[in-house]
Amino acid sequence: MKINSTPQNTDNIIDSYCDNGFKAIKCKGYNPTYNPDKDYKNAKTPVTKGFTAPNYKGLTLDEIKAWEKTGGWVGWVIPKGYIALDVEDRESIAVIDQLCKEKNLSPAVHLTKNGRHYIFKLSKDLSAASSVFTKCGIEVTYRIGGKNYLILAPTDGRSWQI
Amino acid sequence: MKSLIDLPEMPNEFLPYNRNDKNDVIKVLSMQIGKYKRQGMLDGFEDIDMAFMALLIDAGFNENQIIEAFRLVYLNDFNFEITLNMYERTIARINNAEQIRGAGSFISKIKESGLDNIEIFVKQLSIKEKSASQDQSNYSTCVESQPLIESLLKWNDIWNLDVNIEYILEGLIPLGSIILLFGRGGIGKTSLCMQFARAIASGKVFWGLKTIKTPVYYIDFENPLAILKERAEKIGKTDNLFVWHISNKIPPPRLDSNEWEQYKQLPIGLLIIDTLRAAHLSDENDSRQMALIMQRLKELRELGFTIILLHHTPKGNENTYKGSTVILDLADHILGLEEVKKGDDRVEFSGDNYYKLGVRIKTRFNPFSISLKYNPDIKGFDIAQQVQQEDDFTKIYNLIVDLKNIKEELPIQSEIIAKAIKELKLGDKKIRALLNAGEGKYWNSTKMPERNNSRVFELITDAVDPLDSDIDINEAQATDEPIKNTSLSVCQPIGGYKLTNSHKTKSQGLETSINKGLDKEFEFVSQSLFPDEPKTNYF
Repeated sequence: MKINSTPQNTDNIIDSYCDNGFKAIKCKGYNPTYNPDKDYKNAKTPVTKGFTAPNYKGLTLDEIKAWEKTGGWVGWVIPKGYIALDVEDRESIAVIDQLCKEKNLSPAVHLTKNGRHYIFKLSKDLSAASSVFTKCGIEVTYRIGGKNYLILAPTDGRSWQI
Repeated sequence: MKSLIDLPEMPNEFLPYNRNDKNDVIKVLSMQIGKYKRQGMLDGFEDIDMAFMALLIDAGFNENQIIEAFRLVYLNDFNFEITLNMYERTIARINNAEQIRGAGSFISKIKESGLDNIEIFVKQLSIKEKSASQDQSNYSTCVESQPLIESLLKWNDIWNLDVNIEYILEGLIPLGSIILLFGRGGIGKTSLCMQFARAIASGKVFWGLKTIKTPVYYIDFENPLAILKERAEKIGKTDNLFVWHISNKIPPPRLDSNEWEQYKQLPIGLLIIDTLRAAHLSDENDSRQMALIMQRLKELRELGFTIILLHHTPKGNENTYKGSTVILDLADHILGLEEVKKGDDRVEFSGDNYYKLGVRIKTRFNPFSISLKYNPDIKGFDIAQQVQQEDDFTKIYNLIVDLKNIKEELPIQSEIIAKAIKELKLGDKKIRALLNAGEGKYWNSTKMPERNNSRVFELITDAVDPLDSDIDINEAQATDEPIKNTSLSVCQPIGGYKLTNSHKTKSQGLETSINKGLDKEFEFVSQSLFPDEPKTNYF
């Protein structure tokens, strides 16, 4: 199932993520216990531990629904073999878009509040890192499959670029 | 987007930059400067562009790299003309030893602004920054002259360098150069280069010319796949030859696009670009646009690539290439492929057609040319050069015989040269080259003290052509096609001896070994190559 399709309900969205190999974890979100001040940065931090272990199964559909009802968010661990480039500034986004256009590449583009995630396959061994200066000159944050997670649409107004 | 499984691999451009690679550093630095400019953090510094440019020139970047850097600084606001003008002004000022408010003050400004990021990248470019007190405003690239001069190569040291001009195809394709091969459309440039490509990729002797085995990348912007397949079948198989075709999933990048650096990802080898015209969308008559392309090719050359550019001739003039003179200026070696005209009765694509392939207009190396014959079976070319050269050897051989008979002693080199200039109308250099090339094959020479140490020439009475002795002819063609008519020898035409493709002789004793089965073909060759000579009955 396409992850950026427009499913009719949350169940379908969750299914599409699971079908594509994402594993769900609990993030604090605006859960009154974990984030009483509704701090945005704090909302993105995980509650679940040990999600980088190979045998981590991820939350089930019911667990996800139950967690979201408390105001918590769900983070999605990126499948191994993929990378998300987390980019915030407009110029870097323009450079990536231009480069992808010239190379005729269509990564998955996830629109966040402050920027974008570009998801590619990754066959090289890279480490997760923030503020990475790349060969093309732009500054990005690496989110590596199996190690990092993303807060995905439709949480907090996020969406996929079709 | 599709499911994850359909996603593309992350391109290398998004890998972390290499701090030891200036090409990476310049991009990061340029993007950072652009970012801070947009944020207003470099305001109040009027000459930032000139300063940045001076810094890049100081760091050894070329025009093309600097223009690309400015493209990254300004992104959508980039203006090529303004940037180029500034570059030219900066270079002119440097050449005139004028003071430039440049790199030093730029670095000072960075420090004042607390832009540590940029400072790090500047350091990675190995700029020898000067302290702010030493140089607030009068930094000149010229003040770096002392360390720079130490890095220069001393003339006398060049003698000791272990570098030589090498050819990946003897005489024709110098290693590590940009070669422009021009010829009218349809003359056979593609076929010719595919033959080269296969020979060089295989490392086989080709047309008697040595090759250096090298990976070959045929960058094909023009030919339909079906044509490629047909030619590949005719020319034969080889490993080490790669075709980057326009139908490829990642098509070959245009030379005027930002993607051109993809070529750098290839292992070093021979790039054959078919054609230069199709490899860009720029105006080939515009010197600036073509300079940008040629600069990029030079960058590839400096990485170690050898580059052949296939190029057309202008309409109605087959003697030169099409487009700006910048192409000529920045290429190292120009080859022309032209047909040797033979009257109105010639038939297109006939095996009767002869061609000349050789250095034209300019070379930084040595002039060289060969004669070719169209081979309809492979839709390519066979060499006809040996026939021509044999004819010259024959003439020299006969001339030595004459001199020996007249003087009743072995002739010396100066006598042979004088007679050959007078009677054969050959140039001094060519005669010397022929004498050297025929040494040990048709004649031997020794220095004789009693004749002022002059070289004295003695004929070898059992002359055998070099092709017959040096190489395996089937190898020589680097094709799977068997070669006809290859044994070389001397035969006796009217009035002298003639070295031919098909017969063997034993010299003046005139014991001639004749392969009569090949007579007809021999006559054809001699007739078509030398139409002015009377057709002789050789036997």
